[in-house]
Amino acid sequence: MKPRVLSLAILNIRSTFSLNLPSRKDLKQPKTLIKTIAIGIGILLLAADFAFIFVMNSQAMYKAFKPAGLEDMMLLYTAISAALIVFVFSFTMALSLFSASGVDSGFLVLPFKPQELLAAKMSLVYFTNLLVGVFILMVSAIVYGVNEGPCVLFYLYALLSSLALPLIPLAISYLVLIPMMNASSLFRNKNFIIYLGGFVGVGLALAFNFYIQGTMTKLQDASFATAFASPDSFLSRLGKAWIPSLLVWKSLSRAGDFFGLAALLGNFALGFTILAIVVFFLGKPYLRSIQIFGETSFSKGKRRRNGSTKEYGNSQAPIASLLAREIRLMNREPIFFINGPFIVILLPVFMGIAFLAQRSSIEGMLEALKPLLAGPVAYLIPAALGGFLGSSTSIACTAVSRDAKTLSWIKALPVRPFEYFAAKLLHAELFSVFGAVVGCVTSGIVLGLGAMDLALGFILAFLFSTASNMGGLWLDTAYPRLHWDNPVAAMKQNPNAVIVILAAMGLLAALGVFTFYVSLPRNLYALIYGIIFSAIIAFWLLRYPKFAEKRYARFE
Amino acid sequence: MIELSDVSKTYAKSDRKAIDSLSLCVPNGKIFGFLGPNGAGKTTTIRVSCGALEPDSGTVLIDGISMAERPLDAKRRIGLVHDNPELFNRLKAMEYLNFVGDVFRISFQERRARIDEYAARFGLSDLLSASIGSFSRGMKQKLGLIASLIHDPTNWVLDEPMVGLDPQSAFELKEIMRQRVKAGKCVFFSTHVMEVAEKICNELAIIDKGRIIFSGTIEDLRRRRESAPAGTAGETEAGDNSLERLFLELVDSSREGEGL
Repeated sequence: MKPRVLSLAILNIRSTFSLNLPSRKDLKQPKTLIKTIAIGIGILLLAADFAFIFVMNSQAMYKAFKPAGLEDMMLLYTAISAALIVFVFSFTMALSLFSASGVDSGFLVLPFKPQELLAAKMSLVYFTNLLVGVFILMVSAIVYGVNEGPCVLFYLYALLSSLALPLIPLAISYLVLIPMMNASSLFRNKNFIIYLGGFVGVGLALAFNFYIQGTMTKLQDASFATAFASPDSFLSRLGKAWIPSLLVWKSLSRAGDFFGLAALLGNFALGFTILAIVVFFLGKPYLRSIQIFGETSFSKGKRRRNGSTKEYGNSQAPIASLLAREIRLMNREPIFFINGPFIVILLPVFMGIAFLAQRSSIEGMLEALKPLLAGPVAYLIPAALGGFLGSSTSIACTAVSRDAKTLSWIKALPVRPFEYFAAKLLHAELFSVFGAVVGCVTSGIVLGLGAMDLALGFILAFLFSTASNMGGLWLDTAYPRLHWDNPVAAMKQNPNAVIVILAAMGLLAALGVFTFYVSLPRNLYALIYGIIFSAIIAFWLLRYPKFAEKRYARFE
Repeated sequence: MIELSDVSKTYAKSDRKAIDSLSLCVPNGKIFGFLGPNGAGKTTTIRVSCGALEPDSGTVLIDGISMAERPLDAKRRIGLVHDNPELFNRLKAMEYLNFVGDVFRISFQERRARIDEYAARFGLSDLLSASIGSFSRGMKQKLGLIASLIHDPTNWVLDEPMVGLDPQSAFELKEIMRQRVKAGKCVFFSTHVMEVAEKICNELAIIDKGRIIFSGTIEDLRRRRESAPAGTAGETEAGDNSLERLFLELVDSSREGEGL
């Protein structure tokens, strides 16, 4: 019989990573086979994309350190950055798991010790971050190994070190979070936690972007490696302070001798000891944090004053009420908001980060671009940026999926199907306008564009994002994701969102290639692209309403 | 009045008919109970009746209006209380009620009067500004009941309405049902609670495996049992005439008839 804590840990991991792999029988159906292959390719591409980034980064680092004879410093650098990344991932995940503690409350009535509940939950976070740690450390180890040809033990130690990597970050995450959850009711608010987790995630993405771009730029500087590895450098001080990374470095750089083995074992011993201490002492406070999480009460501000007439809405047209419902439901659900409308703000911030990290090279590129601004580029850049921003909110292409839980109720109301879908499109269009404005204003400021070019760019951006939204809505009407337990599935994990964003990027790239290779009078591009986008919109207006009406009737 | 004629429905991801050639007439002026075991097809029947699901075949008439031909007119005559009150947790209660009022095009005065009346009856008046997500299941159920009555529908359809209600609210619900029937309106509700059905239903139908196995009054059901041939399930508990016993016997005999 398995120990209780192990059973619970396995249950946690299985319920989180429950992959519904198709059976052999299912794979005989062409649709399932194609879908499975497409998902497999998508996962491979994603892994390859990240692997490429880390390989390039590690290779650049090796080349920077090698001339100074400090090549093994790249292992320390990787161990430190991997520990930091794993810590942020651990912290974010552990935080977000508190928002799902409603499920955990079911375990409170079962005969588990508080320490077992905490250890089982930690296992889930550990398992997830293990994948991150292995990925980062092994990529760097392989790059180092290919260049230096170390003994086989080096790779084994790298793999084992990456198993130890998440232990202390995990312990620290819970060491911070459990007292935090018990300290203030603010942290026990599910919405607050989701927003906080979302913004920490966004911050992580921005930091990662900044780190990769900044490092790649700095590594091109020959004097960087020596300064980077000097005893007073930030790296050296961090390496000395963060013992686990120092031990990883020692175990890898001395993989062939006793010292390397001792460093490896010491790393595990240190990690498990700290983890055990946290589990032992924080078991009970963790239990309490689960018990009190999400306690709801009716605050004084929520009570309506008797006799107040302000809250009875004046009658408005059903379409207006449907639109208001769309906006409220999207903006009040943190998962929907952060992965939807917030993108319009987030993407320009990403671009700003990239600009700050690679300022000198981007300024050079902008200088090179200036002669081209006499041509169609002057309105096509704001059009492309605004169009992409306006079409990247995933509002339209997840519109039906987000309503999965309420569709049967909506369908029983006297609502015209077209009104229902039109409200969803209008919602997306509000953000199309916003995205087009942000894109045009940003590019106008950066490139110093004229009003006419910006106006033309805005029109094209709006037409493009409208066409994209219409296509997305059609896709989600045809293939909505109607069965889900967590809103993440409707939005973030919805294949329709990925398809629409990739399609928008593909179309923009295709038009960019066309513009580059086909020489036409300056404003003729605007006319051609305007006609293409308008044709898509006209086709949608002609065909979609009937399709949507039929599909609406068949939603189950 | 709700009339279903020869209605069948199979879900897209199932090879079994959820309801099979089902015909049912729910008249005005009657509280009509709809009973059946879990998975018998009660919710599917209700959803088809209200236009939330499209039947594969058969017709649905609401006050003589075809749901297939004039869905909006038909739906305006229905007030539906869903079996799952987990709706729109991110909205405030009043926003939800205003949305329903807008969709049914109810004037400001009417909606205010009805919301005030029913919110007071269900003890929800002071909580209408709160977020639905902060409500208990019973409070959500009450909100669903209020929303279904905003437009004063001629046909009130309730799917398991008693679940989660406190005794006071359950009493109010039954009172409202009786008042509406007295006013010549139709009340059609599904339930698992036999005592409730026994006490308040004027007529009832029992469904099992997607087919109606009985439709009529409780007295009809008792007479049917008394006329059952010797040796059938009807004899086993001859002294117990409760609806619960009648229901169990009917479902058992229906399944025995199918050789189950």
